[in-house]
Amino acid sequence: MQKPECFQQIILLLQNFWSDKGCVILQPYDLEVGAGTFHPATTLRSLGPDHWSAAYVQPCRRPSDGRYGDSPNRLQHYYQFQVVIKPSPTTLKEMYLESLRVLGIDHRVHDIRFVEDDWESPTLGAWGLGWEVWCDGMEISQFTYFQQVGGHDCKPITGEITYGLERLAMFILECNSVMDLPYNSPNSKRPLKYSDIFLEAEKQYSAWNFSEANTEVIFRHFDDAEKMCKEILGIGNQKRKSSEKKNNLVLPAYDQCIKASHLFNILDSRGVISTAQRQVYIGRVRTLAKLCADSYIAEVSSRV
Amino acid sequence: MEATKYQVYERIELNDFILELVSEEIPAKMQTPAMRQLESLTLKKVGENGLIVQKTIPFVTPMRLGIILEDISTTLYESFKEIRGPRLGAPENAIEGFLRKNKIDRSELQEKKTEKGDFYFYTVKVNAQSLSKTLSHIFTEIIQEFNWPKSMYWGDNYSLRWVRPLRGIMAVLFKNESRERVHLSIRNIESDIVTRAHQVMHPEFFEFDSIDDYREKMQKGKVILHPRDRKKRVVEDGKKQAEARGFYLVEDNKLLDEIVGLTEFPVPILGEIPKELLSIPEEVIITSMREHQKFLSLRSSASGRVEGFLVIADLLTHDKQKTILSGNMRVLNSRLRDAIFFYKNDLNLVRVHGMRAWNDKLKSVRFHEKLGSQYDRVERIVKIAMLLVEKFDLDQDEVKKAATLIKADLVSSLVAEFPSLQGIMGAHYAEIEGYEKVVSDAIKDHYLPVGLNDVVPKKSLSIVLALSDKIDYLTCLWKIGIKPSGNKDPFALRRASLGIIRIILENELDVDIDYLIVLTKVNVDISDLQLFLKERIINYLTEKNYQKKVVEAVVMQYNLDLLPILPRVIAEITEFISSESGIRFLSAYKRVSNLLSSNKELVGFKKKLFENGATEEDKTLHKKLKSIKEQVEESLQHKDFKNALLVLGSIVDTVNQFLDNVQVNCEDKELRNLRYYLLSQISEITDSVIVFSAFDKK
Repeated sequence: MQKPECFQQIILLLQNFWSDKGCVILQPYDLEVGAGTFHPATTLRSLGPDHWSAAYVQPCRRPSDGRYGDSPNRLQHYYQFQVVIKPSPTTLKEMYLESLRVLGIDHRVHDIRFVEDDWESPTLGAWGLGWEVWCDGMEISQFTYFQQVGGHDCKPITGEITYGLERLAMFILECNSVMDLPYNSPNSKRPLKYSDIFLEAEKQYSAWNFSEANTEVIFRHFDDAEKMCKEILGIGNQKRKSSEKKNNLVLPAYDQCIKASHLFNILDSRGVISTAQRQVYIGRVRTLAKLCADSYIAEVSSRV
Repeated sequence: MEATKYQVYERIELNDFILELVSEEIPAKMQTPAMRQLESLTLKKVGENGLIVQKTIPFVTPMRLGIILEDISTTLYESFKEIRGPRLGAPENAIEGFLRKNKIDRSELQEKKTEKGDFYFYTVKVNAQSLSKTLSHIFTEIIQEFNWPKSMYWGDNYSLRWVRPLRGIMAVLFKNESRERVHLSIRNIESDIVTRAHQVMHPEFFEFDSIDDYREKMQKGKVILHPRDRKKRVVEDGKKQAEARGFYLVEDNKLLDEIVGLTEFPVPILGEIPKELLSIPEEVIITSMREHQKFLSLRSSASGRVEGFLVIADLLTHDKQKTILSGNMRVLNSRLRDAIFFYKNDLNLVRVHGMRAWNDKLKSVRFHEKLGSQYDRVERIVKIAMLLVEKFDLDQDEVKKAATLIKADLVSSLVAEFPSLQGIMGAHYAEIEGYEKVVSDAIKDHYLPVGLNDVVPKKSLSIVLALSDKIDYLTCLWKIGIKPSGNKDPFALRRASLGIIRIILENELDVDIDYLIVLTKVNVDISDLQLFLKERIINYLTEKNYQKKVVEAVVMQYNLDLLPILPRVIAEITEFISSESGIRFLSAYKRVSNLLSSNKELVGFKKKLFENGATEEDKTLHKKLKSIKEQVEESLQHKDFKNALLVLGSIVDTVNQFLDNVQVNCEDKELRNLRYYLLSQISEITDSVIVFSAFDKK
């Protein structure tokens, strides 16, 4: 068991590991999301009866977590490695522990603990039971058995593992600051650190998220995304009646839901949404997620 | 054609049984309740199924929930079933048919005479339900009925909900020397006779040949089955390590309980906090270590400060846990550096702008959508507090200062990170800004009491802020219809009320809660709220072991202004009803009540009857009642219950003489009415002190 030497090697090891376990290796979804769970490969695929196994890296945006690159562990943009397997196999936990060994974390030397952490996404209308996984006191993953998504019971149950890649890498590579992580091999011709690639982005986006973003436009974009999502799904006062609809275009509709969610996050980090309004906005996104889930389930069952 | 007959034999056996339900990690806080539930379900079902168990020993770890039953004695019922076949001399094909049907040989047939003639019979021994089967039945039901606070499905089988995926069942019955698998088949899990100890240190499956053997192998395999024993190990081992390095343990029972729910074999590891991270208030260090990392804090014997910690691992390693400690140290480092960063930010703001700058930010913090912001709330608290200045003989400026800053720290960056530090940080920052100690203490103490065992604020300024805060909270939420119901009290109104009650009682304050409610100027349904507060008072005093019936009668009869002296009044009444004069009084009072209840309609009579027609007894009683009525009224005016009761006790002889010598239900209607009037006077005067008849009411 040899320890990986850089960030990208950790990703490659995880991809190979889960590929060997039968997961299709997907690429990140091409929209801004707050967590790997938003990828349709998790949210939508966890609905309906079909079996499904996938693994992918997903860049995540958390506008209000930005610290202009100054914090050793907080970022507004970071990576998750996401594994979803449906139905959840009985050996999922063992597979996960095996993946840690592949990354050089020997469970006979490191204290690995599963600490209760029930997962709930108010914007996705989803919940599940599981744990956060601690390794020598550092939270390195989330492990969840989905119970409901978009207000629908999951049958079969999807098992989801989310590795926080930066934290995991900081642990494995013994770095005290995320910016010091070796991104590629320190022995390569041109060794790069995490800061070489992302520091400038953290600065710019923190400024954007906290003080520069044009909130008037973003408010409008939010309304537009919401309107479009409903329109695509044939809901509300659109011209076509839903019965005349030929295609169920749930995937493009879900894109609009994802967009609305991210736009809300920016507004939230700009501090222009009062606490009272906050619940209202979360509720609006949840409604979209629910509508998409309803439509997806209708589409899946009509296929049979 | 068939007849059956049962014969019963009893057999008593002694056996041991063990069940282990192995699952993925059970949440720490659910473990002990689950263990209790398993035990009580087992005891119930064991009894229902006619088993007698000498000892039940439940156990729980993150990975397993189980129970051991020792010395199970059973009464087994064995029966014989006689099946009647064809008549003797029946056609051969009928006899053949009977043999075929029962799958027996001709030699197994017996001939028997019956009332109806001679028949062939076949006798089958029906095996009694074995203990193993009974246990299988019992525990199948228990698993199906088990109630987790939160449960789930997994995979694609929906026949069982469990707290986390159930991975295995071990169920073994020991009879004398033999071992038997108790068959359980739940979901897609078949019971087994093997199990494993610690999942990392001893992952191999093993068999065992007795309960003692199981215990021994578990111990060797680094699993401590009972939470109590794991806790003991943490405390003993932790204290030993701490002492050796010049530390002592900061007590934290709640955290300990959680830790033992995260480990099968707790291994305390001692670490020292790097000196450069000690530059923040100790409460912040303790809270950060506790909430983020579940570390127990260690205080240095030399400096008296928290400078060390115990991290509790679930593993012994060949490097003596060095790697585990260094990983944890790294996390601690970054967590405390975060805290220092927040703390410095806060200090800067306090030094440059003062804490008042935070109050403006409170405008954007919502308290409740119908009740405005935290800023609005602070304004209300200030107003109430100012109205209490005189009563508590306080300095007006001081009260205003303290009340204004009461919630400022809610928007400090440290409290945003660690909400449990509210008040504590506020006090700290107030001191830094140069406010008097009474002010900073009041900011900290106004949240008290939180828990049932917390102290109440003692200093006048702290009391005023605590009362103003809590009465505002209670009345405002009550006004918008947020009221506790059943065991639901999401806004903790019961806690707020209890806080008010305890502050008044424990400080012996002459404060009327009704008056506090008026001070808030909140337009609230007062009778409803009063009833709620009375229930809280009854609840609290009953828990303090005051006699429930007395507490209820007194609290319900009087206004809330009696609260400050309530314990004394209740004690006096309780003493009275058990004293000799009290007992005599009550029996006389009962006779009076009985007579009164037999005569519902009270009608008038002519006053002059007292001069003409009434007996000596009538007159004496009348006079006596007149005099005690005045005395009782006066005593009550001074809330002197002791004297009022004394006065009541003094009429016993007069009343008894009256009742013994006078016929109340006499022929003369006028006279009868007069006597009932006297009786009703007795009752009225008594009831004005305390309605004794309420004692008997449910």
